[in-house]
Amino acid sequence: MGSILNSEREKNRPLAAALVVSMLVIPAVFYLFNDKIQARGKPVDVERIRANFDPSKIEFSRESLLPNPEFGQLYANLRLLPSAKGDWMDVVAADCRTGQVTRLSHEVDGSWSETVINQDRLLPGPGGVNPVDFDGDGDIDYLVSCIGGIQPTNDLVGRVCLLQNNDGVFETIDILKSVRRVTDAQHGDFDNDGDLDLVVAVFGGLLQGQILYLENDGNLNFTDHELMNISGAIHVPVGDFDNDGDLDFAALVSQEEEEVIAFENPGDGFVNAKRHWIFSSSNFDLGTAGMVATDLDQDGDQDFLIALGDNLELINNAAQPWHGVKWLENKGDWNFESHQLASIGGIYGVAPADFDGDGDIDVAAVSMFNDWSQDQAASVVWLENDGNQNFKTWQVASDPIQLSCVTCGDINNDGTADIVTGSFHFRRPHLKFGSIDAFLNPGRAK
Amino acid sequence: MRREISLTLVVIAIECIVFGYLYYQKAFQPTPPQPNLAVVDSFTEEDLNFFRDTTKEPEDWHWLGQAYMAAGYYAEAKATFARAAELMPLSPWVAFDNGFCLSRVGQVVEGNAEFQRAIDLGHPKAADAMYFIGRNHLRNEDPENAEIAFRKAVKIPLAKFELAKILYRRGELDEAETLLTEVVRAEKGTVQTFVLRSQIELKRGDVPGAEKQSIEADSKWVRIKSPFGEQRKRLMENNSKFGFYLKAKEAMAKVAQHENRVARTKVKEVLEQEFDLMVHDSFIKLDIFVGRVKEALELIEERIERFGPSSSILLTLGDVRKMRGDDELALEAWKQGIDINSDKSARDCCKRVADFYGGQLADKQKSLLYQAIGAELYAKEGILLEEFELANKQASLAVKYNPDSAEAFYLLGRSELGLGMTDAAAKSFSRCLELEPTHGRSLLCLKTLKGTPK
Repeated sequence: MGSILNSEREKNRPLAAALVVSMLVIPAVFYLFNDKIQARGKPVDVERIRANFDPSKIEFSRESLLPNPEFGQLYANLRLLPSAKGDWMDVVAADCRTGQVTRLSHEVDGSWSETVINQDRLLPGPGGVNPVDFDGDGDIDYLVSCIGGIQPTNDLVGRVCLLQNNDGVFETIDILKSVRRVTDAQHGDFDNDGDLDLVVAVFGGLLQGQILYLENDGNLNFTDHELMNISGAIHVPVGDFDNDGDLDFAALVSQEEEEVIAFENPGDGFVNAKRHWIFSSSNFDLGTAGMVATDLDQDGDQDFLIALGDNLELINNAAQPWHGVKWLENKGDWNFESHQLASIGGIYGVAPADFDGDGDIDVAAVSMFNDWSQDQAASVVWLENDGNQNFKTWQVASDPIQLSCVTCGDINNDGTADIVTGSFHFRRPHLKFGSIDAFLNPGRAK
Repeated sequence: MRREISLTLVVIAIECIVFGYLYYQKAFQPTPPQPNLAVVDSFTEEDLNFFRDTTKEPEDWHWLGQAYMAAGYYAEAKATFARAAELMPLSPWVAFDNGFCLSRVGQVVEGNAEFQRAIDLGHPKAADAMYFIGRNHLRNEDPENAEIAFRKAVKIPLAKFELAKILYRRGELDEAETLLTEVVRAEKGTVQTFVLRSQIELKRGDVPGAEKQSIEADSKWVRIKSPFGEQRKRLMENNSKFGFYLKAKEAMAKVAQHENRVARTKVKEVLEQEFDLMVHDSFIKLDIFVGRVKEALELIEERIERFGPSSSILLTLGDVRKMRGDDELALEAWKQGIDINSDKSARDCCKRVADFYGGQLADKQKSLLYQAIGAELYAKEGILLEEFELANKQASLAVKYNPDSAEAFYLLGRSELGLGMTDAAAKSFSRCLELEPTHGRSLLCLKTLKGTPK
């Protein structure tokens, strides 16, 4: 019996040895190759902020007013003007890159010609332009606000200039200089003395900025009154916001605060103006970037549309859920109610117009900082008003990207409102460049 | 023997199960998200791909999240940090970074949960995390909870300042001012404190008081130290650890070390990928340094074409034109530089133009005029930096060289105000207003002076 057992043991010895070796080798192999095991699982889920919307039911067609650029353009402001050359409207542009204000006209052959207005000298970062007969001589002058350059600085680089039209030759006159970065200057006869005065948003550099009222003595000499020492004033739209017959203005303030302060004109200008905080948010990150006055609900008083999307505090921008378009509804007696009309990343410019011809006011908006890593991220949208101020967002374009300004009007004189946009392309990604683009409205919905 | 074999077989089976499970765990674990790298340069694309492909350990996930965030891929960073947090549930650093990233994309409630977790796990910068919680409550339009958080983070001066702002907005002006005084004690001369003081005075209806604070604020340039600033710096540092910014840093270092040939190759490589202002400036400097004046001129023209004119680039343009012997063109560039901005480079342009007129053209009158403009700019800078003696010296020169400049008298007044010479300041402001009756800042200063007891 013992010998049988012994022989069986002998027979099984190699098997046993192999098993023992296997037992030792398995962990050793695992230990040795552990580092080389490639993960092949599914990528973790990525949750994104919505960057694209339903394609517009109106088939806008893109027309580039200038040849496609090879690098980023820096248009900060656009205006439409009736043209002397034909049916199409002219586009006036503030070009931060070249330091020029240019006027683009549609030619008979379908091309666009460009005329530089300030031929006598360059302007330091023209950021805002207003065509106006400032000196009352019957021709169009241009009021220009200058931010000094695209890089933020605390230096006194801001300026307000008048490009005064002397029989078609423009002379650049400094109305205000030696101030920090200026982002907007608007005009009006605020003190009712027959000449045009100014309100100015000095955005500032670090934290010092101002809201100024410049009183015109009639000979283009201005006395500057500081209405507020506050940084981050972006736009100062003018209008009769309390329907009392004189011009008031409101300042959109970002930076440290996010608020809108209205200045009520007592009838003789703003030296003794009453201030009304008509909107404020504790969300310092709200990203207010622009404001226009319009009667959105057509109830006979001026409301405001606000673009939300500024996001420059870090080297790379992020679309945030509160970005989009806000409406401040004028409820009378300096009370305004805030409504979020749409949530879209990085909105920088808004403009009202009736795109679908149904009699109510819709809104166009452009994005500077949407999530451009998403290929179809919207750069131009329009918000359709259902007549009761409920809005649906329609995507017009995802190319060009990084747009800072928008204006609307019937540029091709076909009876429908078109959209004109300006590119301000100075951050990544360096693709889908644009310059000044019109999105023409054919007037038919899908 | 059979029993031993059976036992060994069982052990092997268990090993297979265990190691098979471990292999499965490892091989089929979730992989990092793949961002759309078509929107970045190829250096960044290559490095981010490498980081992604080599992400295995929990620490790798943490770093990848930081790299994605630094490169601006916030959605991918958020997903990557979430995985890192799963793998390292006890790491306060991962929780903190996750909180920061979530806050950046506006997920403030989730961000605050992560910051709170970082605090609970013993993050060494717990007060910073609490400050960020306060900020997120503000983002969420919830000042009540923001106040609670800022009170907990009150050892950070900026948290105290935020608290003062909340109280100011609520109309509790005295308490806001008390807190502001404490902030000033911790960090002297910061611009925000003067601005808020001015707003408090305005709300109290004390317009002269507000104007006084406003004038003080005008010459301050230091901000209260910010935990956000620290995180921004960290992001920038991370950004320069890979991809484009690493290459740019290396190229600029070569320029600084005067390794001209290598520097040239590296700078060109970088600029082919992306037009970076700093690298481009380095390239201009390099070309000027090695005497490639023509190439430098081309680069300057390219720079103006892409980013427009500024005093700084026009100063360089003038210098390079002068090197080429194009004196008239140099003069034109410097004059444009003076005209377009009022910064340090504009001041240097003034010096060049004054020297040019004084030396080459022997036109003393014009030389003095440009010296005066330069002195005005210098005085302005002195006032901004609160170096009133320097400002006073320069403003005095400006007044001497150009006694018809209202601005020069205003600056003289401002410098005298800074030196406590109130009578002299009043005289200077008055002279300014004689020359330019609508000079608003002089009017304001004079008004403030009249309201100040001697």
